Amino acid sequence: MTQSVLRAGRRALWRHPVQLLLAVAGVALGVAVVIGMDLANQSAGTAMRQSMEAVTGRITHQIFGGPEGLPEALYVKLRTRLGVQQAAPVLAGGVTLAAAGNRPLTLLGIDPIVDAPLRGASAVPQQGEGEQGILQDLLLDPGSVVLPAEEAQRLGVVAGGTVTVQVGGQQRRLHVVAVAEDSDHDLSGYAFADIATAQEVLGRIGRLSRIDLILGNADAVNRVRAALPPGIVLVPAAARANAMQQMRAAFQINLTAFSLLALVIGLFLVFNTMSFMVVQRRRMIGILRAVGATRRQILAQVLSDAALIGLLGTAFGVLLGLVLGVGLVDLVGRSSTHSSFHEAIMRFQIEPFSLAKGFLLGIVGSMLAAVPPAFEAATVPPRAAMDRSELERQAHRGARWAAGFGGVALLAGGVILVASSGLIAAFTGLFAVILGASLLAPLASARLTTAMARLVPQRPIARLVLRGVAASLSRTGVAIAALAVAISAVIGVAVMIDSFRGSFIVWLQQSLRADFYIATTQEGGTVDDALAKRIESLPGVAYITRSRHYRLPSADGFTAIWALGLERRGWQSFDIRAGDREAAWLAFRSGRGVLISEPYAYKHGLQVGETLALRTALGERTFRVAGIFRDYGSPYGVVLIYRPAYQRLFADDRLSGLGVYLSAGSERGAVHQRLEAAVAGLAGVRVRDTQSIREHSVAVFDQEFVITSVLRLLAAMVAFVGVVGALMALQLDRSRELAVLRAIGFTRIQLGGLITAQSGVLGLAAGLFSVPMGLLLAWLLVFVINHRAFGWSMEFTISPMPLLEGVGLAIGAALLAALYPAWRAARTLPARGLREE
Amino acid sequence: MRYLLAALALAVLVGIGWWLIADTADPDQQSVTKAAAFRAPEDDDMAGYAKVTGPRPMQFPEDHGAHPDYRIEWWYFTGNLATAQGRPFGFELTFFRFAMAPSMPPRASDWATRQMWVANFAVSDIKPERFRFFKRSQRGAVGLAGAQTHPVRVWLDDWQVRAQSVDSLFPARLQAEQEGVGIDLHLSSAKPLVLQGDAGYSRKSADPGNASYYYSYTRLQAQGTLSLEGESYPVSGTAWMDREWSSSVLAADQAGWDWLSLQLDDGRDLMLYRLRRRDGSADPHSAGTVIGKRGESQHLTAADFTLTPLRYWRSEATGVSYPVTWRVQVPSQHLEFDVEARMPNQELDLRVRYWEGAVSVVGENISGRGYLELTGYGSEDQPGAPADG
Repeated sequence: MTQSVLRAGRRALWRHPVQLLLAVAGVALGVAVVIGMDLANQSAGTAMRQSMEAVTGRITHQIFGGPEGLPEALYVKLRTRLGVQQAAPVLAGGVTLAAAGNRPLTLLGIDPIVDAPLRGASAVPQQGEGEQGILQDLLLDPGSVVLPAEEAQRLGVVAGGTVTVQVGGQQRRLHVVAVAEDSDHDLSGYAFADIATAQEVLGRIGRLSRIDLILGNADAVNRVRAALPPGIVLVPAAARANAMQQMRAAFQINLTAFSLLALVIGLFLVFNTMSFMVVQRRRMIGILRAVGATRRQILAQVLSDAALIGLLGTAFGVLLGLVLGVGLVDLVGRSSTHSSFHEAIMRFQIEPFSLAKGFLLGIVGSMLAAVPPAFEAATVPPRAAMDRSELERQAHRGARWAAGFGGVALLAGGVILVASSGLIAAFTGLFAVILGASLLAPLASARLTTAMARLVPQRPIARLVLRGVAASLSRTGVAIAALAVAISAVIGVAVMIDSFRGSFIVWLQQSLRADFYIATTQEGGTVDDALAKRIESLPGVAYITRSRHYRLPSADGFTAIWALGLERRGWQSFDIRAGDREAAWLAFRSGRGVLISEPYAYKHGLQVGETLALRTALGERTFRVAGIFRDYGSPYGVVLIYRPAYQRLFADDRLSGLGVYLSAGSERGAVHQRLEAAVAGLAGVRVRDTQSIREHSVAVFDQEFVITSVLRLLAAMVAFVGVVGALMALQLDRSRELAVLRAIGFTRIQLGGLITAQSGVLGLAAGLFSVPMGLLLAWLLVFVINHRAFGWSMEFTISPMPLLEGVGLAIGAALLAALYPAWRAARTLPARGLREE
Repeated sequence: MRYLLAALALAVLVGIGWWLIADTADPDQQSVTKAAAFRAPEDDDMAGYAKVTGPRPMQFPEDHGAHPDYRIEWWYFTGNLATAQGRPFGFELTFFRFAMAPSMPPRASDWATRQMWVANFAVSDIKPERFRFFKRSQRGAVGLAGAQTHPVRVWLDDWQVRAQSVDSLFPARLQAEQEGVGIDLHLSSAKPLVLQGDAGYSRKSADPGNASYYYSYTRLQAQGTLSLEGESYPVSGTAWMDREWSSSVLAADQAGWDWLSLQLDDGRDLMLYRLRRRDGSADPHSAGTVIGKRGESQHLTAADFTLTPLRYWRSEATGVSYPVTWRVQVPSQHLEFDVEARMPNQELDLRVRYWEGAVSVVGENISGRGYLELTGYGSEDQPGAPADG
């Protein structure tokens, strides 16, 4: 008997090949989305790790000094007195290539004798004989450099040639002793020299920028730390890697959110597919039960078929997921602005964990999804199993249960979000909220269509359409929920990006108020107070602001310090979010108070009135937080300090840039020319129009979010395809009902219309439901996820477009899904349709 | 982000750096062994360097310091040690200085130098036959490596020998440590300094310009600690110091050399070297010195002794066969005995390999300890050595 029950199930599968195909496709899609998204996410993570490892390599720690760097004697002391053998000195500084349109180059001084062994670059192929003399030239020949191929090509020099660089307003001739292969273009923008040459060319005799170290244990770390003079710090390389990781956090957070969404959508697709399969064979189950099959046999039949569908679906899904993953990884790489990152991410990673997750979802998920409906079908009396009205009653009860459960999940999500503070908790809460809201979807759409049916009491066809939708909840509920989740994701992310972008543009406009900015394009550029004075005295210039950006090494990485010399009238460019604007100005001006950006405040848990400590050249000093300002410029935050106070405390008179404000009525173009003339011949100094900076910033912003938009589209597409499948299966299942309608006089057109209208209403219901759900999602992304990830605040902006798009997408998907069934129903002869049962 | 790129570029730079050192001035390749280093360079390359052409008066402690105008120079310490319980060890710590150019224009940065330093450090753990060796390179500038007098100090990073008084080299402290392998020895000299060859002028081929200045301390009492794999052992024993500087030693037809420093239990010390020609025969300029109990020394010419390889050991790692057992005959001194490696594997598998290790003197009425250096083996012009002996 068991065998024949199983055979009956198998035969039922083959008898409806289209539905079988749709079921397999449903599972496959669910698995594919999860795997694809996961792979993209993990590849991105791996790429980030790799590029970070490439940066720090085996280096565990770095020693940094103040703005002037380190005395070289410290390095010698480390090696000869402390026995720190795994150490390498680095001196970096900017030069400009006059011959290449003042292209900035970073001259990187290293000690080639100790550098390579330390960094363990043994993978580099050894060159043959005939290279004799390059190291000697580098060491012995003053001004000798190695240029990467790209730079050499740009300058039209070969090994043995010379290039002229400008540094500190002076010209230096450098000898190119070798041209380095650089197929990855990683070296572009650099020239490499021995430390001695770097010191001489950069005019930094006796100084180093930093010392890279490999320290094996805590003892070694403490020994080195104890030997450091005041003003010099030992920073774990990991802390720096962390700081960099934060820069890319936006990226990963987006991907994580989408992975989560993909999981929800995948779950729905699988569940939808399986419960639909059971619904379809309720009649058969009833018959089998009537002829004596046991419940256990029924369950075995359903589960074995579910396993078969799950297996097939998973197999296709994994393949599809890999394809999807490759595409996504490619996209992620392309949307990234950083070539190194791009290179790293192209090395596609297949994580066993993702595959395991996909398998679990596809096979176990399919079987689990089939259990409740199969159990239900197997337990009811045989007669009831064959009765559709009974099924629909059950489905409505189920919808109420789901809604109840959804309400609880919503509540739990809300509680988690309110009570917690971490990012992981935020994601958990978000997940609960999405799940909860989607579980509400079936009941909500049933109520919605019932209510709509009441609105049209005089229109029997319309009522038929609407009632039909409400009545077919057993087969439509899950599809509606899946569609609603997908559409709400589309809406939510769109609203979030709109909000962010709007706030970003407002912030740009407010904070970039000067007419022109003069900035150094490299470390150690030559903007100084003398230049500032010259600029200030130019006709047409009203006043200027002076900026110095300095990354102060600290125990946990870096503190970005922004020293700003500005007048009272420049204060309005700051959007003070906490603290009194006037009081903040006075405290800032006195040098005793600092302002901190929102991310800094959030990361360090600081509020106005509290204090923070900075390690200045005069030792550690505490500053009062006078205000918190909005700044999207740095995801890890910045400390704003009055420049005269900074100069005194950090013994650093250098400048990173100037903001130039024009006097009223001055001729913009003429002033621009004067500014260009004033900086002509200065290494690495550029005049930039504020408008172009704004445009560039927005372009960068948009580029950062390209991936998000693409993923959003992808989520929509997958949901779309999944829902099309689900609805199509549903309509095909209604052959008998449609045949009855045809038999009682419905024309083909009417029948097609009915199917299309019902599908459309389903789509509309899902779309309408997804609007509040999408807004909720957006709200959570903006105010919870984003805040917890970065500490940024932003205004919540709702424009109608994303909402309309979402609803349109839902209806479009539903209508598209109706096309084939409508065409088929219209073609089918009533008798054949009736016979099919 | 610029920072990230900078650092990334730096990482790639490593590649360049490595390639540069690995190939060009990798001091291993250039000159780690005496033989390789002392080969006569092209005449052009020699121009501008000081030449060793005949005896010159030596002055100490000044001559313990560097002679930067000569191409190459070394401070060589080897010794046999043992714990109180008799666990035997061998050690070698050598400092090499190479001039990369005969002169250099004045430069502002203290990092600029034409002097390259290399140091090798090896410990032979004889009982379990375990050999550990390390190499370091450093420029002779900013205090990273160098040699000074008053007091004498020769160092590279924290490996160093340092005189304990201002005027004389010994007593001295010898220190080196890496990866848990280390020595910290107090050295005192039991015999006076020995000028090798003709008052320190040591000729190495028919061309009088192929020569070095060469002196030794042949019997140093060593006492201190040796550390290995986290264990620290109090040790004592005898050590030997060799000092040479030159601009060119080996002639074009010389392949390498076999060098022996032996401390015999009758109180005599013996230094012998056999310059090996490319055809495998001994060069007539091979030489040696025998030092009596009270330090009186007697020069030995090639005719005064024979060195016969008895047994070869083939390195698993490199496939090179080294003669690790020798028959030594010095008829004028009534000396005839065998010299055997205390353990076979004391090969320094650096870019140019050589074998340098602790040896025992095994004779009928005589015994002793010492060090054996074998260079120039495994190159294509090595005469066909027998397979495993």
